[in-house]
Amino acid sequence: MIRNSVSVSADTKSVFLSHRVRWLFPLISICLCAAFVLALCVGRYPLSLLQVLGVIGHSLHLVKAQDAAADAVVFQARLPRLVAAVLVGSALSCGGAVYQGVFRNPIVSPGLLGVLSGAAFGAALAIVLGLSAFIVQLGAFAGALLAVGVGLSVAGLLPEGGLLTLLLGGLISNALFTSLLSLVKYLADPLDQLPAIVNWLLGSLSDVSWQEIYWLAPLLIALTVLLIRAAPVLDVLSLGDDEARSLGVPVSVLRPLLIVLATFACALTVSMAGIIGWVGLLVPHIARLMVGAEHRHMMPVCALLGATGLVLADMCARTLTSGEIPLGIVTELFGALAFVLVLRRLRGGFL
Amino acid sequence: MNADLLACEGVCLRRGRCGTVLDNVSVSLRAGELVGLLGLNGAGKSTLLRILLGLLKPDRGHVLLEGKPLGAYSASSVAQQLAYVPQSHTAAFPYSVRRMVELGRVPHTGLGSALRAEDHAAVDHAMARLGLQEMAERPVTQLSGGERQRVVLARALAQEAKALLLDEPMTGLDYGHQLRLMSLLGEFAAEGRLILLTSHRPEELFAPASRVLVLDDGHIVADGLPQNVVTAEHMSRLYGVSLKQVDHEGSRFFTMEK
Repeated sequence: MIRNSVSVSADTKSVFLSHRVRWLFPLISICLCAAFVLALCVGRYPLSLLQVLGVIGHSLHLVKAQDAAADAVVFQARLPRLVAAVLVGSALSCGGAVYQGVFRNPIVSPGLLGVLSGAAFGAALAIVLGLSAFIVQLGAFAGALLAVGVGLSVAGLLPEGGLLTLLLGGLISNALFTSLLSLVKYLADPLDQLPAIVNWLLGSLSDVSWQEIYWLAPLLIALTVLLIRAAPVLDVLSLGDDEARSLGVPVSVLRPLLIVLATFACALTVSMAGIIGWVGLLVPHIARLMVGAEHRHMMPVCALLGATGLVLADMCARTLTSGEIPLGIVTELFGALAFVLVLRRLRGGFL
Repeated sequence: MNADLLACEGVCLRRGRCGTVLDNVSVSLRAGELVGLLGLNGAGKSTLLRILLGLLKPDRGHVLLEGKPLGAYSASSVAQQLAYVPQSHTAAFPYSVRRMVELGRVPHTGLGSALRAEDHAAVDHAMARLGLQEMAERPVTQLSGGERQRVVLARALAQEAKALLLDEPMTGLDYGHQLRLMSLLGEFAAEGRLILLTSHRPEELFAPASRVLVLDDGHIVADGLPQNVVTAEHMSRLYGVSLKQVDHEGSRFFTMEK
């Protein structure tokens, strides 16, 4: 008989992991706040902590106006892009985690079904057609949805359902939209349009306006909250089709639904900030290392980490050089390095 | 005896160009039976299992659960009655053993609801039954094949289903684990559950099974007591090798006839 009488937990390390969430969550929240305030202070026009607190106090009508210039720097230049960094970072990380869960694959990122290549094509097309910045954003959003739509439809045309056909659909859609992007780049005016396209593709938060945030924040927040709330579903879906269905879970409804929600979230981030690589792939891994794989614990941590990470990355983008490095480059650079460290830490517990 | 727990009538399934997988298969299974399903590779054993679980819709015929068609039940009430142990479980993420077993309560609690006291009790019971308490917090990705099999079996047990359908549960297990698993399945059946397992080894079914089915070329070609089905004659015909049987103290062994 397979019976043992001892009931002591053998692996204290992972016991520790699942209980960590209780103190890690507040700790990361504090880190996010600290990063946020720090990012408000540093920049080409450095502000002291007191100045920033004064500006915040003034906006809450607690103190009298002190420094009009500081006011402008905080409210017009820094705050909108920091708010955007929080929104984009958390949405991308949660989107990535959902993609990884739904596809049962920890090395999947939101670009899998063509979100990024579609968005790039849509934005590039709008730039070449000489349309306004707003239409470029709309183009990116529409392109992202179109590409995922193409990916899903191609998967539908292939025989035998399941994950592999979705992956193939994504592969084909990615190839299609990457080639369309190349075509648009080839046709673009090399003097002004091509640099504009390249610049857009690198991803940046420098042009985010309050108006954009008013429009997109409610949607992004709602989607991120929905994705976090879907955590228990992800645990079951990541078992695989037959096992999940044998537990009475409607896989054929929930999987596309989650893909659509995560895709929407990613498409919105792309239209707000361009292509910010690595966040969606890397942050879920770090979250798993910190609190374990169970999505119920890992998703909220993932959202906070993504927000903190992007606030810091954006701060680096603004301050590392005298000019501004596009945010996408910073995340790619740090992301690639950090991923090596994460993979080294994972060792046996991976795949 | 009592009425059929799980049955299928006239089930047919064709797939692609390969033609017929199952042709007019009818089986009725009762609670308390330990049923072994034998057949060649590709004979349709796993397919039949998936049809019985409602994971696959047959082209013709239907599946009855306690006399009512499977379609009349909601997905979660089917899952409350039928548990599935797949051939090999590969974990995508390093969930803890306990979390994996807790997922067996999903049919009862629904997705996202917290576990109630009775759910925790069922999980504890299942884990104790399979000797998993010691490894409750270990990530499933770090377990051996045999340990993982026990985790999936514990999950099925936590489901508190009336029937357990296992797809080649012995594959990949060492001899000791095979014997332990078989005796455990015997206990489950004795407690009134229906156990249906597919197998590649007729000998391992002989003693513990109360009934053996043979699936060949899409048909059930034999169905009955192991003594009458697991015979040199049937097995020679099924596997295409001429076999000689040796009975010894309630077990039956086969050797190839020279």
